[in-house]
Amino acid sequence: MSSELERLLKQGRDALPEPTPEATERARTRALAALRSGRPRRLRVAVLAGAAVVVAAALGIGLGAALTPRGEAAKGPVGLGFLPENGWLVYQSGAKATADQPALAVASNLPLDSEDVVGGLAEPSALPYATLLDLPKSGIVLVASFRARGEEVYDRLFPETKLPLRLADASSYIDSGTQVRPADPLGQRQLRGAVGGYNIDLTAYFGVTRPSPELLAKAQRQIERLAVSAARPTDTDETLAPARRAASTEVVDRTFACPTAMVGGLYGIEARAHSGVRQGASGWAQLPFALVDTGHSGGGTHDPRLLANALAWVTAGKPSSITTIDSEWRKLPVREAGTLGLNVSTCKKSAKRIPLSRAGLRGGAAGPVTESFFCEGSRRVIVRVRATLVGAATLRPSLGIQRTLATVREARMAVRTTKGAKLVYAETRGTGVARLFTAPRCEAK
Amino acid sequence: MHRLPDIELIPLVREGSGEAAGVLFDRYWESAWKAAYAVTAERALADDAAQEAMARAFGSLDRFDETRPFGPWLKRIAVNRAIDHLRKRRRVAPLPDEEPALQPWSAGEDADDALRLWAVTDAVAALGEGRRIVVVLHYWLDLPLEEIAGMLGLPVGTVASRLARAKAELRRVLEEAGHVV
Repeated sequence: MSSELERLLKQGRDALPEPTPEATERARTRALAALRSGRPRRLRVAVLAGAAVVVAAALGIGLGAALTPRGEAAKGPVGLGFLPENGWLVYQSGAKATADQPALAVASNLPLDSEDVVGGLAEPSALPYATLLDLPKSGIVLVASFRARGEEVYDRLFPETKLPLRLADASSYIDSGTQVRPADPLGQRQLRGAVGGYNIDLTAYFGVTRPSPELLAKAQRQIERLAVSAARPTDTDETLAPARRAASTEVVDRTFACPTAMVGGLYGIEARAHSGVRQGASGWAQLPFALVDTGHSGGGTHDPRLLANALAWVTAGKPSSITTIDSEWRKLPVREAGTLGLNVSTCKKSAKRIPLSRAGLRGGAAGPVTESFFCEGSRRVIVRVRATLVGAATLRPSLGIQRTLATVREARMAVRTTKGAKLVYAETRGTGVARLFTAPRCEAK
Repeated sequence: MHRLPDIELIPLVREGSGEAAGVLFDRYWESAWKAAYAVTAERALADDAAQEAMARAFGSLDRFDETRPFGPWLKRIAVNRAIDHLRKRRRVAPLPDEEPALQPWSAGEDADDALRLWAVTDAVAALGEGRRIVVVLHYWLDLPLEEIAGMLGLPVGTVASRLARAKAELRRVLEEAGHVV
């Protein structure tokens, strides 16, 4: 028996999945770039001490040019980032930003954890996780992203404003965003505004949930040193290509308990999925899509943002303005509905943990036309969604659904009864694949 | 170029041959990624870890002794990066240990064999991190216990004990599912 187990274990390596073509291409680009540079860093990171002379030599020049009131800025480097206050450190990932790839800047009133400087800030996410996890009560970290305006669906989230941004205008970031340190929550404040052709998304992290007026004042003084260049590069700027390819990611992993509705005298849920349909070389006419809902909409609503009765849905791939997903009654524009949605009006957060596994379920790859299954018999279900999003994404409530417009790289979803019986497993991939597996008792519609 | 052994290929890469670099990448990328995936049981983490490993390996080629095998060296880097990512993520948002791996669905395969192997990889992925890493390093990357101990900074006895417990757990799971009798 033991030898059989050992044989199976050794064979198990042959069943490991393969990397996706996208991951392969990203790795190839990065490896070849590392070969040319002789080191594997992806983004150039300027690290400056507030009182240090190097400020003028490096970041300061760029930002100084940006702050120059007349046209001299265009001659020198452009600046998107922080000029350091005394005692602060500032970092920036680049002086240019497009709609696809934001420039990122960080300011902190304490040295960043070495893990963030090497493995964190060098990463495109520029979110200094290690520092935030150990942020002391007096610690402040500001993280700002700058994205060129030009897409209405995003631009409307960023009202035109003027510098300096004011912390007093910030919203609490905890309700709708990721709490970095759930066990000992950080104070998080989010500021959004459009300045000089850029959408600025600034999050202030404090070592305490409720920062004192002194801490807030300290943060405000550094925020007042935020600089935005008047010169705006175009999307075709080739120097940004490597950074764009290495877009940051964020993982959303949520579990909910949801009541089900009755249809035709039966309580239950419906699972639907379809694959992606390409349009042209790189675009999508239809994204891969998987959804779980309950009840019956009757098709009465025409609001494209409303996926009637949805408990959760996931997509994958980058939508354009014409990309759709196929809902129960009609095709919906993804940019109206959202790339990922979680029903927070009827569902409640659950501490239960259910594995993202299709073991014991049957099914496979979905085709381009929606496939639907009805699973009866459950008055309540546990739904778990885990999605990897490209870029720093925020889920925002709209019409009872927490949703995002960020591109989903890949997503998985599992549904079980409250007693743990498996009902549904679905996944969507950036390659256009959607897979749907359901319990044997679920019936195809 | 595709048939050149590593010992001849690597000097060409050092001299700046893009073609040679592409061949070297294609030759080892998949195995590096699989090593990272085996450790993390998660695609996104495996992508990051394997990418970093390839970049580090290529960026350090000048210092690489080409008389030594490239593949195991790269795998080692990939595994180390994968472990780093797991540690980092654990500090951010612990995920349940029981999360199983995602396996590809490929129609037309012999279903029983495929299901059996998937069950094995799912069961390995569902082990707690500490046990999973030891199993993966020992059975899938063929590392002896002493080397695993050095890599993880653990006494050899601890590694052996983790491996024994992991096997007992795997045996129980696979027996219950009818994959091992």
